[in-house]
Amino acid sequence: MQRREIFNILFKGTPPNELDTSEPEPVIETPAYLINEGTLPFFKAWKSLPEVVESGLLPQLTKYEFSLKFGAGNLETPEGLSGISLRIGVKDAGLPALNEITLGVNAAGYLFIGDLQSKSKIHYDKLIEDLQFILEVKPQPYGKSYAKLKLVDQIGLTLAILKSEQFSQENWVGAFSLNRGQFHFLQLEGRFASEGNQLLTTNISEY
Amino acid sequence: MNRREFVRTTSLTAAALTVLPEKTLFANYAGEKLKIAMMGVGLRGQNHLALILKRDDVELVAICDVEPRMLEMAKAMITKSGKPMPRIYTGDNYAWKKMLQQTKDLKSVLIATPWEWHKPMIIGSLEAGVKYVATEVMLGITLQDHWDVVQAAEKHDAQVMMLENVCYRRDVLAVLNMVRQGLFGEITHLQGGYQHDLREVKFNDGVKSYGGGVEFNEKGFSEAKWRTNHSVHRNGDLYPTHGIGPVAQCININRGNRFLKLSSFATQSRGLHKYIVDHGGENHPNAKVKFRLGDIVTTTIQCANGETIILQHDTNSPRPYSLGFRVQGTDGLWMDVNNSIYVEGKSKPHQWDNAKEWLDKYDHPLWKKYGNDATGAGHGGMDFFVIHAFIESAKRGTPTPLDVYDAAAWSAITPLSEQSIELGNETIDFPDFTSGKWMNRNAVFALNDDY
Repeated sequence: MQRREIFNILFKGTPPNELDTSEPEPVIETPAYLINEGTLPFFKAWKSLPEVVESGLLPQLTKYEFSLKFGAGNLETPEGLSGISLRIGVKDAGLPALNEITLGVNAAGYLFIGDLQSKSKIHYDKLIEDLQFILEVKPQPYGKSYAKLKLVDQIGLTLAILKSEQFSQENWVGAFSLNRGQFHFLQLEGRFASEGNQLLTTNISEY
Repeated sequence: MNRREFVRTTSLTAAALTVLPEKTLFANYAGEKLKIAMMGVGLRGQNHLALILKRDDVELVAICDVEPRMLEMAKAMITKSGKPMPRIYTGDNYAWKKMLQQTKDLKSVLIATPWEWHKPMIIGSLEAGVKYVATEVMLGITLQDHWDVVQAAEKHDAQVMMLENVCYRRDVLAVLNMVRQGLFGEITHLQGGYQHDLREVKFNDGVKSYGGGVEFNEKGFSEAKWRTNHSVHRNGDLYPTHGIGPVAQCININRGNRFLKLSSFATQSRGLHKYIVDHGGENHPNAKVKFRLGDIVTTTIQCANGETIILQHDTNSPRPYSLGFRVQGTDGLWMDVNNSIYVEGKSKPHQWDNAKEWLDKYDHPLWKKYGNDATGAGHGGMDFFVIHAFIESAKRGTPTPLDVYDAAAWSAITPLSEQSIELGNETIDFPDFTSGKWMNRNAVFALNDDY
């Protein structure tokens, strides 16, 4: 009689009929979204922000890390500080109604992504200079995403950072447009799979 | 004569030179002398003054300082050297402006003043038409200061060289030589810092330069008069250039590579308060001062070509001096703390070699040529090289080997590390002071034995 059977009789009363350990984890593999091999860099810049920016751009880019850099003028108005925000992931009609994402700086001087708001207030003097927002979005396991929004002043000093894990990769897919305030440039940078050169013609409904 | 005998003999020769009468460099120099003026002749300025007075290719035309005691010391040095006494400007904080206005055909200026004066003095000199400005380390205080200096240098098509002397340290240059010859393979990681117990620099009795009391600001003397206040109000890597300059050369920062982002962490602030209590008692008024500067500030930098750098600023604690260099590549590494080198395939597996043999073998051509001239110069001879490089560039009308972009990138680590800590140790972006030129600029630093 084997040692294991003796223990089972003594402590469990029945012979072993099932594995007492779970299946081993598969061999460790690099997640697909971290493999840049075979991908091509993508860069596109707009000098002024059109009303709605191409909705076909993001579907492929969101499979990998991508960034949006947008420049804004100062936020001072005769009425006081104005907020500034961008809507991303605006879906065409007929698509699943996922949440679109609004992000920027609110009129109180806080950075925000969706309903998440930074803890520290940005100094008023800083908000009346030329500003630049940098949004970096990285895919995460199980379709999640990690977004980092930075506000940078005109000399390149990072003034505030806000991070969010509340959105899925699919949330980012869609058109983007100006929600409030004024932007004077926008840059979109990322990577896409080289196969088929489908970047600009991809139909958003595939997602 | 074998190598050991050679090294022993040359060491004895070098030792003998230090006790010989001071010799003059470029004696009987026939070319046009470089006209130079000095802003600040405090203790650091006097190190540079001594080197300038030794050279026959330089004409010191004016000096400026607000401290009568420092001016007297400088005047005594000049008198002793037998060189003509330059015009002296003093009296108020803006005497340097009068010096710039009144000095004709001034080609170069050397600045050795408190950090907060560097930017206005550099820009003031450039606006006065000076084409070569040497400044002691730290280009400015805020990030905006750094941009202002870069843009002024570009506007006036002038050279601004930060006198980062550690780039010329003998072992540092030998390691750079090894890096360039591929001994360590592709460089992947570097470390450096400023790990120097400055408690007796930050505090003194108002009479002596170092220690003897716990006074600073108005009641302090020399650096305690201005430097300590930065530790009261700022928390970041306040003095990064000695650590970053040498390692930046190893990976061609601003010349095919650049700093991309950094994050900084600071420990609690304890050392300076403890020093005051230990040496001045807990009832001393300065025991109430709240210092912001963390005792040890650690900064990590990511570079465009993939390398990482760790910098440490450690000036408030009891410790022997060390810059903590480490240069590591795919084939080996150098660490200065244990004075060791390891090169795969050449060192015994998993065992350190004593660095000395490697450093002797790869001694840089500059040190081979000028080692004797550097003997006795400040900071182990490296002050000689940094002044030599500046003066030779100005005489020849060529770009300085350390330029304004290097100065800005190295010195800007301070405001960026402060901001990173302020934001809760966030990783923040590093501005590109070259505005894209880093991609096409070639290395120029210490490529031969010239300067």
